Amino acid sequence: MIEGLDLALVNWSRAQFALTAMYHWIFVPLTLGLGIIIAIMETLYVKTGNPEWKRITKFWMTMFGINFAIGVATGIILEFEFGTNWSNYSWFVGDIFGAPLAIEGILAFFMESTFIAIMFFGWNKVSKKFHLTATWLTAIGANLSALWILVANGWMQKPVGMVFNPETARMEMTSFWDVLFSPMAVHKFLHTTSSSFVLAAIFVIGVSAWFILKGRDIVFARKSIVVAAIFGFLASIYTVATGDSSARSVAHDQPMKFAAFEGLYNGSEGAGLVALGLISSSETDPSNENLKDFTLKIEIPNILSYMAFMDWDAFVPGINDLIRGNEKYGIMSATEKISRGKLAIEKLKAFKEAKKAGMVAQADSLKTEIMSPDFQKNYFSYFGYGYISDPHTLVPSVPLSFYSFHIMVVLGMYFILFFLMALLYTLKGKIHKHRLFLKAAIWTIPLAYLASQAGWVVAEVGRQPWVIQDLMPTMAAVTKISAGAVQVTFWLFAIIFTTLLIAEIKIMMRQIKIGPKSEGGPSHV
Amino acid sequence: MYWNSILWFLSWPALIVASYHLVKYTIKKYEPILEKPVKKATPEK
Repeated sequence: MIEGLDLALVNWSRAQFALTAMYHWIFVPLTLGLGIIIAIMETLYVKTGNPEWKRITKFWMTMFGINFAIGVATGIILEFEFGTNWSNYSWFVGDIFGAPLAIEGILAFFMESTFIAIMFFGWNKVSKKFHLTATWLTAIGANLSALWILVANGWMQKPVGMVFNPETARMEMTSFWDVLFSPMAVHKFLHTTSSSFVLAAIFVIGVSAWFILKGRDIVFARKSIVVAAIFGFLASIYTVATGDSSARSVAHDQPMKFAAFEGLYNGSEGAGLVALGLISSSETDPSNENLKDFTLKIEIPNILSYMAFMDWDAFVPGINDLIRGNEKYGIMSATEKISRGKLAIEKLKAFKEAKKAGMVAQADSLKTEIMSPDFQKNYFSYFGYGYISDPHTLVPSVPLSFYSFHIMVVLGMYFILFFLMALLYTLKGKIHKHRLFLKAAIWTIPLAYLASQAGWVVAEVGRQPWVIQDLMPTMAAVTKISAGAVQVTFWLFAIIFTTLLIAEIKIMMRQIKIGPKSEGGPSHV
Repeated sequence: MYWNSILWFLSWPALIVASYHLVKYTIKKYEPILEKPVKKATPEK
């Protein structure tokens, strides 16, 4: 345990980061997906020369612009928080984490910002093809920005391509390619961006449905729905595929998170997937074997084993196996990991003291020992466990992880059906008759945001107590400032972000009511 | 070593290109239906 640590400080720092990240993530997915949708629409305009596509593109571009501006404002605050609230983390892994963040900064502020100006103000000033190129580069730039953030996040979930330097007590990057091509990072990027495409497609369909319900701009709405429904349908299938791969990475590298979002307390061979379930409210003590994990559940046999390890009969460890250990399956107990982590910390401390006292030979010997492959593999890889005093704190919130995961999955399935229905009704020319569906389409917009936020809850709550898996617990990453100061900024950000969100919704609704403009003013085709 | 990750990365632009071509084909095929005027629908208040 860290001496003199103020738990209120840790909790407020976490709450503030969660608040900022969740607000930021309200704006980002729409930017990522809408950018691509606009680029497809503008390509249709350039290829066909039909001015209706220009009108459609310009309307959705306005939505993109409003959202983009507010997304940037919330994102900048997040980056500052690494320094203000998580300086121990930044110190420990800044050499690695800083690289993707810097590349993201270059892409976000140079590539996106340059081409977004042409995209908005370049109509009739540059050639059609040049304008189209600027639109595509803005869309791709936004997604590449996301790539670097997600590479950094993926590294925190599965640290690779680095070595610990005892001299500086910091992690240093040894292979940039290992960090970039880590399966965890790749799947995180693909799953996150494709789910953002789904959200943006739902937004386009929902807003278009409103126009049809109002009996105005019908052709605009139908064409927008066709683009969004096709893109959304393909993206939602792709999201399922990347989600499956992502889950496999989690099962391999973060078994505790996997067990938590599946609500699996006791591991088994041929483990079943709980499709729907109600977690027993009495299940708060993982050490109690007799507690019932679910009050009610619908389970599909063997699916979980296959999903995790591509083997119908594979053993999937549960929370209890990971805490107590399971000799049969070679799972080390949490207590053993904690003692190994403590030994790694003690060796490092001894090295630093020897160096400080000028005992060169002893310091060199300790350094050699710390850097030996055997010590790195068997002790240093559990470094973070040395800060843990109670093994049960290694279990993340099971109800929050389980419900968030299942909300995301169930909504994801609904979205596939939703896109198919939107496409079929539109192509049959009867969407205006399905008024119930049109109303449901509007209400599907908040559901898309719910699924998107739930995904991040699974990823971030599920990995607790780690900020860097197995190496650094969240409590060790925090900046030692007063909890009161963080509390003040928490409420300040809460007020500012809520105001920004209300402003965005109001501006968007105003623009939607104005509708797509023709050359001579608002059109009501 | 990285081939699996590279292949996954390449599937991302493939998704966008496939979406564009499917949209283009569908719009071309169903243009008459999409542009057909609607008999005056009762607008929602």
